[in-house]
Amino acid sequence: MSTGTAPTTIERPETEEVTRLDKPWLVVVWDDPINLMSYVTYVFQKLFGFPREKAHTLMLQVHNEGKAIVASGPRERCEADVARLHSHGLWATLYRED
Amino acid sequence: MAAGPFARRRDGNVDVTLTEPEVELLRSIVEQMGHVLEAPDQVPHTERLFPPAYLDDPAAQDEFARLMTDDLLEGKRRALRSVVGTLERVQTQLGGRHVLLSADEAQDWLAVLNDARLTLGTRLDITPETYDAEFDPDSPDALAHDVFRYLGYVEEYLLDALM
Repeated sequence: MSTGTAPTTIERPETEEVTRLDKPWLVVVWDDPINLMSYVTYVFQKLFGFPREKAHTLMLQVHNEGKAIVASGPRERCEADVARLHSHGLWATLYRED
Repeated sequence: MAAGPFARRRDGNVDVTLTEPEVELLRSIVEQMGHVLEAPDQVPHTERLFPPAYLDDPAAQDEFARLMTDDLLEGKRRALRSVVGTLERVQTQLGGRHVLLSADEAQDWLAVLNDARLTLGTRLDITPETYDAEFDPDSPDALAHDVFRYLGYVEEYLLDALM
Protein backbone atom coordinates (compact mmCIF):
# COMPACT_ATOMS: atom_id res chain seq x y z
CA MET A 1 0.00 0.00 0.00
CA SER A 2 2.88 2.32 0.53
CA THR A 3 3.28 2.85 -3.24
CA GLY A 4 -0.28 4.09 -3.38
CA THR A 5 0.30 7.09 -1.17
CA ALA A 6 2.83 8.81 -3.40
CA PRO A 7 0.52 9.56 -6.37
CA THR A 8 -2.19 10.77 -4.02
CA THR A 9 0.23 13.22 -2.46
CA ILE A 10 1.31 14.51 -5.84
CA GLU A 11 -2.21 14.91 -7.18
CA ARG A 12 -3.65 16.77 -4.24
CA PRO A 13 -2.10 20.18 -4.86
CA GLU A 14 -3.43 20.17 -8.44
CA THR A 15 -6.93 19.40 -7.21
CA GLU A 16 -6.69 22.20 -4.68
CA GLU A 17 -5.48 24.61 -7.32
CA VAL A 18 -8.45 23.84 -9.55
CA THR A 19 -10.82 24.32 -6.62
CA ARG A 20 -9.16 27.61 -5.77
CA LEU A 21 -9.66 28.93 -9.29
CA ASP A 22 -13.35 28.03 -9.14
CA LYS A 23 -13.99 29.31 -5.66
CA PRO A 24 -11.81 32.19 -4.57
CA TRP A 25 -11.29 33.00 -0.92
CA LEU A 26 -13.10 36.08 0.32
CA VAL A 27 -11.94 38.73 2.79
CA VAL A 28 -14.75 40.03 5.00
CA VAL A 29 -14.64 43.15 7.19
CA TRP A 30 -17.16 43.09 10.04
CA ASP A 31 -18.92 46.03 11.63
CA ASP A 32 -17.74 47.02 15.07
CA PRO A 33 -19.00 49.73 17.38
CA ILE A 34 -15.62 51.31 18.11
CA ASN A 35 -13.75 52.08 14.89
CA LEU A 36 -14.64 55.48 13.44
CA MET A 37 -16.44 55.43 10.09
CA SER A 38 -13.89 57.85 8.65
CA TYR A 39 -11.07 55.60 9.88
CA VAL A 40 -12.51 52.52 8.15
CA THR A 41 -12.84 54.51 4.91
CA TYR A 42 -9.27 55.74 5.25
CA VAL A 43 -7.90 52.21 5.83
CA PHE A 44 -9.74 50.87 2.76
CA GLN A 45 -8.18 53.63 0.65
CA LYS A 46 -4.73 53.11 2.12
CA LEU A 47 -4.56 49.30 1.95
CA PHE A 48 -6.42 48.60 -1.28
CA GLY A 49 -5.92 51.82 -3.20
CA PHE A 50 -9.67 52.26 -3.57
CA PRO A 51 -10.89 55.69 -4.69
CA ARG A 52 -12.50 57.68 -1.85
CA GLU A 53 -16.01 57.05 -3.17
CA LYS A 54 -15.60 53.25 -3.38
CA ALA A 55 -13.97 53.10 0.06
CA HIS A 56 -16.82 55.18 1.49
CA THR A 57 -19.47 52.91 -0.11
CA LEU A 58 -17.79 49.79 1.28
CA MET A 59 -17.53 51.36 4.73
CA LEU A 60 -21.27 52.15 4.63
CA GLN A 61 -21.97 48.55 3.61
CA VAL A 62 -20.00 47.34 6.64
CA HIS A 63 -21.85 49.80 8.86
CA ASN A 64 -25.38 49.16 7.53
CA GLU A 65 -25.27 45.46 6.66
CA GLY A 66 -22.83 44.33 9.35
CA LYS A 67 -20.11 43.22 6.93
CA ALA A 68 -18.67 43.66 3.46
CA ILE A 69 -16.40 41.65 1.18
CA VAL A 70 -13.39 43.83 0.43
CA ALA A 71 -11.09 41.44 -1.44
CA SER A 72 -11.00 38.00 -3.02
CA GLY A 73 -8.41 35.70 -4.52
CA PRO A 74 -5.96 32.96 -3.57
CA ARG A 75 -5.84 31.98 0.08
CA GLU A 76 -2.31 33.29 0.70
CA ARG A 77 -3.15 36.73 -0.65
CA CYS A 78 -6.37 36.88 1.36
CA GLU A 79 -4.50 35.88 4.53
CA ALA A 80 -2.01 38.68 3.86
CA ASP A 81 -4.89 41.15 3.37
CA VAL A 82 -6.49 40.01 6.63
CA ALA A 83 -3.17 40.45 8.44
CA ARG A 84 -2.84 44.01 7.06
CA LEU A 85 -6.41 44.81 8.10
CA HIS A 86 -5.71 43.42 11.59
CA SER A 87 -2.59 45.57 11.86
CA HIS A 88 -4.91 48.54 11.26
CA GLY A 89 -7.37 47.41 13.92
CA LEU A 90 -10.14 46.26 11.61
CA TRP A 91 -12.04 43.07 12.34
CA ALA A 92 -11.39 40.99 9.21
CA THR A 93 -11.79 37.28 8.49
CA LEU A 94 -11.45 35.08 5.41
CA TYR A 95 -13.46 32.16 4.13
CA ARG A 96 -14.25 30.24 0.98
CA GLU A 97 -17.81 29.64 -0.13
CA ASP A 98 -18.81 26.00 -0.26
CA MET B 1 -6.51 74.25 6.14
CA ALA B 2 -7.60 71.66 8.63
CA ALA B 3 -9.11 72.75 11.91
CA GLY B 4 -8.15 71.09 15.16
CA PRO B 5 -4.71 70.01 16.38
CA PHE B 6 -3.32 68.81 13.02
CA ALA B 7 -2.29 70.54 9.80
CA ARG B 8 -0.66 68.63 6.99
CA ARG B 9 2.01 70.42 5.04
CA ARG B 10 2.52 70.05 1.30
CA ASP B 11 5.54 67.78 1.91
CA GLY B 12 3.36 65.36 3.90
CA ASN B 13 4.69 66.34 7.33
CA VAL B 14 2.02 67.08 9.91
CA ASP B 15 2.08 70.01 12.34
CA VAL B 16 0.61 69.15 15.73
CA THR B 17 -0.57 71.81 18.17
CA LEU B 18 -1.81 70.72 21.58
CA THR B 19 -2.31 72.11 25.05
CA GLU B 20 -0.07 70.91 27.87
CA PRO B 21 -2.90 68.88 29.49
CA GLU B 22 -3.46 67.16 26.14
CA VAL B 23 0.23 66.27 25.85
CA GLU B 24 0.16 64.90 29.41
CA LEU B 25 -2.95 62.86 28.66
CA LEU B 26 -1.40 61.42 25.50
CA ARG B 27 1.79 60.56 27.40
CA SER B 28 -0.30 58.75 30.00
CA ILE B 29 -2.24 56.84 27.32
CA VAL B 30 0.96 55.86 25.53
CA GLU B 31 2.44 54.66 28.82
CA GLN B 32 -0.64 52.55 29.51
CA MET B 33 -0.55 51.09 25.99
CA GLY B 34 3.08 50.22 26.66
CA HIS B 35 1.98 48.11 29.62
CA VAL B 36 -0.80 46.53 27.55
CA LEU B 37 1.64 45.58 24.78
CA GLU B 38 4.21 44.09 27.18
CA ALA B 39 2.10 40.96 27.53
CA PRO B 40 -1.25 41.50 25.80
CA ASP B 41 -2.34 37.90 26.29
CA GLN B 42 -2.25 38.48 30.05
CA VAL B 43 -4.21 41.73 29.98
CA PRO B 44 -8.00 41.97 29.60
CA HIS B 45 -9.72 43.91 26.79
CA THR B 46 -7.04 43.26 24.15
CA GLU B 47 -9.10 40.87 22.00
CA ARG B 48 -9.89 43.59 19.45
CA LEU B 49 -6.15 44.18 18.92
CA PHE B 50 -5.66 40.53 17.92
CA PRO B 51 -8.83 39.39 16.17
CA PRO B 52 -9.26 35.92 14.66
CA ALA B 53 -8.87 35.43 10.90
CA TYR B 54 -10.92 32.23 10.71
CA LEU B 55 -14.30 31.93 12.43
CA ASP B 56 -15.09 28.28 11.70
CA ASP B 57 -11.71 26.59 11.40
CA PRO B 58 -9.79 26.36 14.70
CA ALA B 59 -6.81 24.57 13.12
CA ALA B 60 -6.42 27.24 10.41
CA GLN B 61 -6.87 29.95 13.07
CA ASP B 62 -4.13 28.43 15.25
CA GLU B 63 -1.77 28.33 12.28
CA PHE B 64 -2.63 31.91 11.28
CA ALA B 65 -2.05 33.14 14.83
CA ARG B 66 1.23 31.21 15.05
CA LEU B 67 2.51 32.88 11.87
CA MET B 68 1.09 36.40 12.29
CA THR B 69 0.73 37.35 15.96
CA ASP B 70 4.39 38.13 16.62
CA ASP B 71 4.57 40.48 13.62
CA LEU B 72 1.29 42.10 14.57
CA LEU B 73 2.48 42.71 18.14
CA GLU B 74 5.90 43.97 17.02
CA GLY B 75 4.23 46.39 14.61
CA LYS B 76 2.15 47.80 17.45
CA ARG B 77 5.21 48.13 19.72
CA ARG B 78 7.20 49.85 16.97
CA ALA B 79 4.39 52.36 16.37
CA LEU B 80 4.19 53.02 20.10
CA ARG B 81 7.96 53.62 20.37
CA SER B 82 7.67 56.05 17.46
CA VAL B 83 4.89 58.00 19.19
CA VAL B 84 6.87 58.07 22.46
CA GLY B 85 9.75 59.58 20.49
CA THR B 86 7.56 62.27 18.95
CA LEU B 87 6.13 63.23 22.36
CA GLU B 88 9.70 63.71 23.62
CA ARG B 89 10.21 66.27 20.83
CA VAL B 90 7.23 68.42 21.87
CA GLN B 91 8.29 72.04 22.30
CA THR B 92 6.58 75.15 23.58
CA GLN B 93 5.90 77.73 20.92
CA LEU B 94 3.48 80.60 20.55
CA GLY B 95 0.03 79.46 21.55
CA GLY B 96 0.78 75.98 22.78
CA ARG B 97 2.81 72.81 22.54
CA HIS B 98 4.07 71.80 19.12
CA VAL B 99 5.69 68.91 17.32
CA LEU B 100 6.23 68.23 13.63
CA LEU B 101 5.47 64.65 12.53
CA SER B 102 6.85 62.99 9.42
CA ALA B 103 4.25 61.29 7.23
CA ASP B 104 5.27 57.91 8.70
CA GLU B 105 5.06 59.24 12.26
CA ALA B 106 1.56 60.56 11.54
CA GLN B 107 0.61 57.00 10.53
CA ASP B 108 2.07 55.76 13.82
CA TRP B 109 -0.05 58.29 15.71
CA LEU B 110 -3.12 57.07 13.87
CA ALA B 111 -2.30 53.44 14.70
CA VAL B 112 -1.68 54.12 18.40
CA LEU B 113 -4.74 56.34 18.80
CA ASN B 114 -6.84 53.63 17.18
CA ASP B 115 -5.38 50.82 19.28
CA ALA B 116 -5.98 52.88 22.43
CA ARG B 117 -9.61 53.46 21.38
CA LEU B 118 -10.07 49.74 20.67
CA THR B 119 -8.63 48.77 24.05
CA LEU B 120 -10.52 51.40 26.06
CA GLY B 121 -13.73 50.93 24.06
CA THR B 122 -13.62 47.19 24.74
CA ARG B 123 -13.06 47.84 28.44
CA LEU B 124 -16.04 50.21 28.52
CA ASP B 125 -18.10 47.69 26.53
CA ILE B 126 -18.97 50.32 23.94
CA THR B 127 -21.90 49.29 21.77
CA PRO B 128 -23.80 51.17 19.03
CA GLU B 129 -26.40 51.97 21.70
CA THR B 130 -23.96 53.31 24.29
CA TYR B 131 -21.60 55.06 21.84
CA ASP B 132 -23.34 58.43 22.00
CA ALA B 133 -25.36 57.85 25.17
CA GLU B 134 -25.08 60.11 28.17
CA PHE B 135 -23.14 58.53 30.98
CA ASP B 136 -23.33 59.13 34.68
CA PRO B 137 -20.67 61.72 35.59
CA ASP B 138 -20.38 60.11 39.05
CA SER B 139 -19.69 56.65 37.62
CA PRO B 140 -16.19 55.26 38.22
CA ASP B 141 -15.87 54.97 34.43
CA ALA B 142 -16.73 58.62 33.78
CA LEU B 143 -13.09 59.64 33.28
CA ALA B 144 -12.45 56.68 30.99
CA HIS B 145 -15.50 57.69 28.92
CA ASP B 146 -14.10 61.21 28.67
CA VAL B 147 -10.74 59.85 27.52
CA PHE B 148 -12.44 57.57 25.00
CA ARG B 149 -14.30 60.54 23.52
CA TYR B 150 -11.18 62.68 23.50
CA LEU B 151 -9.28 59.97 21.59
CA GLY B 152 -12.11 59.84 19.04
CA TYR B 153 -11.97 63.60 18.67
CA VAL B 154 -8.20 63.62 18.12
CA GLU B 155 -8.31 60.67 15.71
CA GLU B 156 -11.11 62.27 13.69
CA TYR B 157 -9.08 65.46 13.31
CA LEU B 158 -5.95 63.51 12.36
CA LEU B 159 -7.90 61.62 9.68
CA ASP B 160 -9.28 64.93 8.45
CA ALA B 161 -5.72 66.22 8.03
CA LEU B 162 -4.52 63.02 6.32
CA MET B 163 -7.40 62.55 3.87
